Amino acid sequence: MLFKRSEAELIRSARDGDGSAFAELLRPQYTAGFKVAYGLLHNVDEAEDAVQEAAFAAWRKLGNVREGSPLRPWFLAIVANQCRTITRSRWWSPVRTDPPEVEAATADLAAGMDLRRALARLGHDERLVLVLRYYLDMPYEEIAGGLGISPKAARTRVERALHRVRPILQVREALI
Amino acid sequence: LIEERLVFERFHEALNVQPPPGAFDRLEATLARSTVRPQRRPWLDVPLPRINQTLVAGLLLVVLMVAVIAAFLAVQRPPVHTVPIRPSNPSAAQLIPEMMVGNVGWACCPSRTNDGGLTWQDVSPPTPATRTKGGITTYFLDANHAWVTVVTGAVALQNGTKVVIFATTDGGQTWSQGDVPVNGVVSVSERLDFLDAQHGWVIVDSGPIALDKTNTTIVNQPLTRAIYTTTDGGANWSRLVSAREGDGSTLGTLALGCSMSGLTFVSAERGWLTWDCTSSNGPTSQSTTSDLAVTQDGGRSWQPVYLPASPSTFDYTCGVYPPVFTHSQGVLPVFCGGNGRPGFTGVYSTDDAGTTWSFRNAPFFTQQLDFVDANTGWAFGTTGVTLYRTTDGGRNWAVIKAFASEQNVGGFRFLDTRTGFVLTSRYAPDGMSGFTTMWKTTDGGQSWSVMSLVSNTGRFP
Repeated sequence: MLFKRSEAELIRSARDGDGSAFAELLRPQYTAGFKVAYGLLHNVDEAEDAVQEAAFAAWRKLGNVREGSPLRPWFLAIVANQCRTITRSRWWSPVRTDPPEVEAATADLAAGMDLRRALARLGHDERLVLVLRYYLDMPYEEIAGGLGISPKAARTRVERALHRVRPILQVREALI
Repeated sequence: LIEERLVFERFHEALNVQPPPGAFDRLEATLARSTVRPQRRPWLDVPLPRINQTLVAGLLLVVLMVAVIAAFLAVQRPPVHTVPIRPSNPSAAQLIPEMMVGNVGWACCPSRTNDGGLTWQDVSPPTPATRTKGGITTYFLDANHAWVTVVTGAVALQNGTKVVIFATTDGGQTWSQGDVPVNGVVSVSERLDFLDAQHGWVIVDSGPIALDKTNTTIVNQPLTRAIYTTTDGGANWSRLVSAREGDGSTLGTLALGCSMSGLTFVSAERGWLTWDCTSSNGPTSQSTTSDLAVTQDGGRSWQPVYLPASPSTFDYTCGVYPPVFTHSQGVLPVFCGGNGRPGFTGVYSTDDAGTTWSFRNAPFFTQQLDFVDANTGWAFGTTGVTLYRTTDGGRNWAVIKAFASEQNVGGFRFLDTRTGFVLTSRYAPDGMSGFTTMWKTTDGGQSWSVMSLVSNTGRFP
């Protein structure tokens, strides 16, 4: 009979160099990590690259994780830092506006592109809090945990960043 | 005002994308086949491998082969190519000068000004066709001498295998090329420093992994750090020291995964390496590592420097910035972000050329500090666009200027105790239209004049 290994067992195995165990640990976090990377980079290939590199960085630093701490904010923070590094090392214009591969009306695509352009104009930290809040639907408490700040400060950061993109959202509403 | 529910909907519409098919499977396969070893806390006993005769023979064979290859490379150094370039027309770009002599100066990547920063010309060396990932690093020595690094390699896989170092001695009109082979691939980053027009150093981090999305090629290797030196202005580079992650050496142990913030030689023998772990790939172990190392023999060997009163728990992630020395006095800016607790900014100072350091907390929390000598420095504090100055090595800070009309600082730099530049921005309430302003001071920051004002209006470009 096969038994599913507990998270603590997986962490122990991964710390001993078992890559399959670490992959099992990451499996529930992968989609969220990819979404954070895509929300910050706006490029599917770069997002996949970023999550892969973040995964290896996370594995190397697994010894720093405290017992019982949730893995998700820790891993998402590493993904976000990896995206920051990629953005800094970009050779030329970082603004990529490839539309996502979904079927949508032209007006919707244009509105989405406007919002992505608006996000690209923000700083890394502002973009990150908006992606965490409105794309990953994270509560302020979890955002605060990942950023190492209070929930109140997280809410303030989100509202301040939202203020920067609000004109784009309002234009969209006016068109409907 | 828009309901928050609609904001959720707009974000999901704009960013509605799922991971590509098989993305996680590729990652899982890569992880399963990799040889990455997670970091361990040093007080754990790590069993040493048993050395037998076969292993010793193998090692000797490897050493012999490396020696033969090194000898071959030493006599087959690549020829130096001189590449003339045609500078572009001057533009009124708002660039912060990194070095200036009179009205002639340099800024990132590189650009050059002949009018004190009012207009700039792009004088970049030609981009190699095989350029891959890896940031550009520059070093500006004086009005004529500058160096630029570019990483080249396998473009299709974005794997860097060589660091190309361009050098100019005529202010960017022509560039010559020197090459540094990298012992590894991917994620190459580097730092440059020159003591004079002939003697320089470069540190190159390569690895730790090569990731191929098509999963046809996977290369795993420990992080490798190597320091090279030149004595002919960058035409030829020779390796001084090389280290691999986990080999027990200083370079193979310190600040793994952190960004290099500086390589600073104060003499031909004495130099400093600094790392910034706040811009790394995640939290690092502050209790087990140092973010500062020193060499006393021109870069051949390095020793970690453990700063007093440095945070000793995992609750902080710190960045140490390059030291600035005036004779035996020096300062070392430090920034520590707190995990669930307030972070802090401070300055370490020394009176004995870095043998001992003492720490002083700054009354603000910022990463934006700049020192021009061991006493004089500036910082933008937490509240608004407020500039602080110290004239006693960080012991005391005083508000010297509040840019009341501005909202953000895009960057700043002081070239000496009197001349400095600040780039600020402000936006209208709609958050879309605004201005970026370049300011200049010639009296140490007490009064500022506007060099240029650029309007950013209309929709996002």
